[in-house]
Amino acid sequence: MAEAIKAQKKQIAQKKQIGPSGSGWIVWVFLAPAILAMGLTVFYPLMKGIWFSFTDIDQYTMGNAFEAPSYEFIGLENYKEILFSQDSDLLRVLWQTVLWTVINVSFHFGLGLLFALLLNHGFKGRSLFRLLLMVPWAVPAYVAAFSWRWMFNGDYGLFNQVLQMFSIEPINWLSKPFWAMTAAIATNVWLGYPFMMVSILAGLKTIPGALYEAAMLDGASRFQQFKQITLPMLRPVSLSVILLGFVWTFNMFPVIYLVTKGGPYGSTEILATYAYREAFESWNLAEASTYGVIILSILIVLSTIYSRMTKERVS
Amino acid sequence: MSRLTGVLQLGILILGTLMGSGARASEVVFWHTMNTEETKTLEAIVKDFETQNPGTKIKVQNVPFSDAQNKYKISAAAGKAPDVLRSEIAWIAEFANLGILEEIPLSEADKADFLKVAQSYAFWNGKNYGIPQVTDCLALLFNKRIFREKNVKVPETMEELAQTGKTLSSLKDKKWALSFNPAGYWAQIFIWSFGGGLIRGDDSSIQISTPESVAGVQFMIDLMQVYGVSPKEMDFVNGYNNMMTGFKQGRYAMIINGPWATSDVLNGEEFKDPENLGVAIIPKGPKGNFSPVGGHSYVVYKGSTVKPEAMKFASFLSETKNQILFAKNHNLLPTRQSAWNSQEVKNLKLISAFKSQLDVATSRPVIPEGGGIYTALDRSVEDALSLNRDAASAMRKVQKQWQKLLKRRKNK
Repeated sequence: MAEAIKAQKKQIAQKKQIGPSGSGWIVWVFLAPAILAMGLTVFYPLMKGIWFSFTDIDQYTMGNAFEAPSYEFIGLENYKEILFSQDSDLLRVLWQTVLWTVINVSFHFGLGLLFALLLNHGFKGRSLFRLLLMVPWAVPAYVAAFSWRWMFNGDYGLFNQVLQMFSIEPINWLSKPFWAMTAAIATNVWLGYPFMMVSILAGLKTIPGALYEAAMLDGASRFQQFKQITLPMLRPVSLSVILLGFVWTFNMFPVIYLVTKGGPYGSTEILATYAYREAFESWNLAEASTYGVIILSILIVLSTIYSRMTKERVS
Repeated sequence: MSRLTGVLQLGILILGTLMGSGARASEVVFWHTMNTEETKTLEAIVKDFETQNPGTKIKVQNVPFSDAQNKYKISAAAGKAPDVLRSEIAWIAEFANLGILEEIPLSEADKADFLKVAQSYAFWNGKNYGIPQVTDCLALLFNKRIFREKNVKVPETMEELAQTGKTLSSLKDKKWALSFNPAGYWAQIFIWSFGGGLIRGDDSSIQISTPESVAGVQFMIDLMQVYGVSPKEMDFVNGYNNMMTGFKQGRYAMIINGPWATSDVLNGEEFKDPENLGVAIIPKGPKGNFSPVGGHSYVVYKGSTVKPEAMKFASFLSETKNQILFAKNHNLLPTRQSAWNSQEVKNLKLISAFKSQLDVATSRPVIPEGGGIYTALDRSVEDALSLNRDAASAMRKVQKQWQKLLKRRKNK
C-alpha cells in the first residue's frame, strides 16, 4: 500500500514539472499588460502606502484637488507610537485578529471536510444537498452580513425570538464582547465553508480508487483508510486552501464591519477594520498606513514559515 | 479590410463619447441624507425646479447619514464630490477648513431672514459656506396613552425622570419608561445638564473629563442600572433603530429624538391617532435645560463645474415655500423667519412644541472638529454604558483622543 502511495506521489511530482516550454520575448509581450496593470493597481499603491507610514500625513496635510500635499517625512515615529506606546491598541487588536482567524479557519476546514466526505459518497438527494450547501457562497458577503445582523438584533432578532420560545433569557448578542465575536464568527463560518468544501471535494476526486481497493484487500478498516489514504492524499490541497483561508480571513473586512461594526467598544475589531477606521473615520492616515504595513509584514512572515513547514513535510 | 473597419469603429466610438458629453444639459449631482418620507417631498421639489429651469438636470442620490461625512471628504479629496451636499451643520467648518467648499454669498434679505442659530454654523473665517435647510434639537417624545393610563405626569426634571422607572417600567412585560440612542450626540444632554461640556468654541479647551461631565454620563448609567428607567442592556449596533421600533410598538413610554423622527413615529401602530404623540422639553438637570442644536444646510463643492446652477438649486431648496412644505409634511423646523411667520407653520402643533425646546437649546461650538469628535465619544459612551469602564476613565480616554484630534487642526 505504501508503495502505491509513493508511486502516486511520484506521478504527481512529475506532472508538476511539466510547465510551459519555449520561453522568449513573446512571453513578455503577452505578460506586459498584466504586469502594467498589476504595477498600477498593486505595486504603486503598495509603495505609496509604505511611504505614508514614514510621514505625518492626515486629512489636512494629504492635500486635495485644490491644495498641494504638505506632509513630511518623520522617520519611524509612527512605528514607535504603535509598537511601543502605552495607549497603542495593537496587541489587543492583534490578539482579536488571531482568535478570529484561527477559529474561523478551523471551522471552515472542519465543516468543509465533513461535508466534502459526505458528498463524496453517493446517496439519495445528493445533488440537492450539494446545491443547498453551496448557497452561502452565492450570497454576497454584505447581504449575508446584514441579514445575520438582523438575526442577532438584541430586541427583535430571530435568535432571541427562538430563545424566548424556549423561555431562555435572550442574549444581547452585539453588545457583549464574547457574544459579538461569536456572532461575527458564526456569520463568517457560514459564508466561508463552501469554498473549503468544494476544494476538498475536488481533492477527494483525484484520489485513485485503486488505493482504497488495495487497502480493503489488506483488511484496513474505514477509519484506517481515512487516516492512511484520504488525509495524506488531501494534504497538498488542504495546505493551500488553509493558507488561502488564513490570509482571506485575516483581512475579512465586510463581515466585521457590517455585523458588529467592530463593537462593542472595539472588542471585535480586527486589524483590517481597525486600520480602516483609523484612516477614514479618525483620518489618522499615517497611523493607518503603518497598520497596513504591519499587517502585510505579519502575513508575509506567517506564510513564509507556513510554506517552509509544509514543503518540508511534503518532501 | 477588417483592420480598417476596426479603426473606423474605434473612431466613431471615441467621437460619439466626446459629442455625448458635450451635448448634455448641465447636470447637478446632489447628495442628500433624508429619510424615505422626506425624500418624497424632496422629489416633488426637484421636479418643480427642473420644470422652472429646463436646461438643468438634477441627479439626486441618497447617502446614508452615518457615511455621508467621510464619503464626501474622500470624494472631495479625489476631486469628484457632488455639486451640492446636504451637510450636517457641524461638518461645514471642517469642510471649509479643508478648502473643499465654495463660498456662498448671502443677500441682505436672506441674512435677515435666516435664524441666527442655524446660520452661525455655516460661517468659517468670516465667510458663509452654507444655506440652512432645517434646524433641529432633541426633545422628549412621549406616548400620551401610557401616561394617561398610568396617571403619571411627564417628567420636568432629571429627578422626576429617574422616578419614572418605578411608575412606567415593568420588567415582566419588557416595558420601560425611556429609551435613548446610546451615542455621543445623545449623551451631550446629560453631560451639559450636570454642568459638563465638550470643547469650548473660543479657546478649544476640552471639558469632557471634568467631574461634571462624568456625573452626566454616570446619570445615564444610573438610568439603566439603578433607577430602572431604561433597559439594563442595550444593543449598540442597532441602538437607534430599536429605540424607534420600541417606541412605535409601545415598549417605551418616552424616547429622546428630534423632529426628523416624527414622520416615522407617526407610522407606528401606537400612533395611528397622531394626537397620541406628545413632545415636551427635555427634563431639567441640576444646571438647567439642555439640548443640542442640530440641522442641515446645503453646501456647494469648490470643484463643481456647474456652480451657478448648483447655487441656484441650493437656494431654491431652501426657499420659504419649500421650507413650509417640509414643515407641513414632516414636522421639520424651518430656518427662515418668514416660514415661521406663516399661518401654516404656526398651526402645526408638533412644530410649536419643538420650537419651545429650540428656544432654549444649546449651540455646539463651531469648530472643524465639530463632526469628528463623535467618533471617540460614541465608543467611550458604549464603553461606559456597558459597564466595561467606569464613566471617569471612559471620558479620560475621550479627552486623550480629542487632544490628538485638536493637535492636527490647521489654521488654529
